[in-house]
Amino acid sequence: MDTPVDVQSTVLSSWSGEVESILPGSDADLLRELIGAIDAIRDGSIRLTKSGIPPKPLWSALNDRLQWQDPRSVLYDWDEVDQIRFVYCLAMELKLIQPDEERTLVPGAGADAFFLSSPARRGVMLARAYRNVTDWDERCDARNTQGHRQNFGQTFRRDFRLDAGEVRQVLLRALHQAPLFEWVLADALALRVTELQTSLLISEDDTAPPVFPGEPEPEIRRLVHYWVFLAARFGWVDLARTPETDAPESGQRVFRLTAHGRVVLRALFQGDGSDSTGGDTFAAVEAEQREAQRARRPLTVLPTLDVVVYRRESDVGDEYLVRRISDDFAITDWDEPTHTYRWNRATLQTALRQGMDASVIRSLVLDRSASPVPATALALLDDAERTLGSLKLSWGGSAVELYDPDGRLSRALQEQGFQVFDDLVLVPWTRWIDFTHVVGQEPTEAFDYPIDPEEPLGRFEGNTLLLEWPLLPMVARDLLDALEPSGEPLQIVVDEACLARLARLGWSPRAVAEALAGVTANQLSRRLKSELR
Amino acid sequence: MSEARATHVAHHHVVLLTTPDAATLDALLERPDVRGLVWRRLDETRALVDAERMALVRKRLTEQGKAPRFLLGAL
Repeated sequence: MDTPVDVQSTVLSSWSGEVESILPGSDADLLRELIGAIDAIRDGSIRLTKSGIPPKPLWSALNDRLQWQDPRSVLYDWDEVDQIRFVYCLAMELKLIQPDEERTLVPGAGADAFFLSSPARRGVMLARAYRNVTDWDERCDARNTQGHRQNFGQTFRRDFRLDAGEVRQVLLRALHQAPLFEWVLADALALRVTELQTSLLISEDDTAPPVFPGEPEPEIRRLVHYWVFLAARFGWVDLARTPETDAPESGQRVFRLTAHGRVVLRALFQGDGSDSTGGDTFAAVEAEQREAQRARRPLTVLPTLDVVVYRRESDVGDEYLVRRISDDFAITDWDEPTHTYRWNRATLQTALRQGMDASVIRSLVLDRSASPVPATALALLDDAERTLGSLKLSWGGSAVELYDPDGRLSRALQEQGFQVFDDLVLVPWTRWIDFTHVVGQEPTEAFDYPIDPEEPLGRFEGNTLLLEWPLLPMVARDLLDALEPSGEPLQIVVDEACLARLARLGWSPRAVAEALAGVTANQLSRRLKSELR
Repeated sequence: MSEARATHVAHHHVVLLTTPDAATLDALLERPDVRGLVWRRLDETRALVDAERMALVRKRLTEQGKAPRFLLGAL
């Protein structure tokens, strides 16, 4: 369907009538469920199956920690609302949990960066992760008008014309056109989605459904009426309904965009969030949130090393931090106004071993404590830090290979304080927006580590290493550069002559084997396998 | 990287190893068990290391008496 220009930008009409049964949108439940996903794997007993599927005990553990309850009105139509898989997929996408080299799920590299960010930044990270999730799909298990099942929430599904990410992009773009703090009929959103993309729910074999002016496509309407619940779960909208009357709009679902929703959607669609209406930039919103956080002191650390979290004052990041340093990862009652955790030397060492930043722990504990931190707690932190050497492992960012033939971008990035190494720049997650401003575009997304072990970056056929992608990964990059793979697909023969050449460059056969094990998920040639025995 | 590339390419969730001096990184790279876990050396004291085998990286550094400290967002 040709899309009229005004559909791309016209603000949705608001509903001026009465509303009732207001359900305020909030991401609190979802964030607690994501903490629950980390809790569920912290005892180190959850190992991915050989096919990469999480075992049943993880589903049960996630289910036990689920805060979401399917509203009856949603279940009526959407009987496969798989929130367990949804939470798992988001946790994996955000790297809150990740498999280690033994395929055991452990707290992931993204957990600290996510939970310790400002609410606005966390919201954007969550929205981007949601947009990228592929193993979960909104499209329902109902039949469309042509009798085809749309298998909701399953990895098994028909071939839709649009992938799940494209569907979400349309839904988010339509929501981006909602006015702030004003109620809008869900049907108006459904109509806008229909106008933006009629084929949202259509398989490759189906023809686009007939659309009548001013009416949402019925299947899209059903999707949108479900999806606004999901949007409320992210805190992007509040929900309500119109009163039961004789009017045509009686008992209709309505929603209104929240301030959080506006910040997130602006960041997704307008970069820094500034716009012609004079709204606050993302940086201004984040600064204000940080200031408000600093004014609250939700923790009390006792000399016994009991740490009390006052939940009304705390941000979810406070609870995440304290919880990660304790060994209390049982199911918690989030309705309790306070919760007491216990720290000791062993629990702190475990947190540091799993990648928590000792300096971040110290500064946050000092910053967030309502009373002076007792000497016993400071001594505990001091002792833990003394066990660490002078080597530093920094995470929480990306490496971007620049296309910069004249060196102009490298210079501009260095002037902005980025670390540039020839053609490569390191970008902390907190500076991603600054980075895209300097380079003027979003880079091509190459690799997101860790790679799914079921889909390694390369494989051996005999002595020939075949790379799966035309772009080189960052994994074993020094070695791959030395190997100089060529052809299509990129490939290199790793035989005795090659190993001899590499040895002259300082690469022992064992080091080659170790490096290529990372590329191939341990599927090495027989010759290289022998090096690791 | 392909010579034909005409765009920026992003690799997410990388991990940076920083050593106090060049000699320390040189010494680490001479060890086959560590060299295979270093993805790309960036300069005298910095290298990207295996983000997928962090537990192994930490274990091998700790075995040498060099237990690393983790830093969040300090790339």
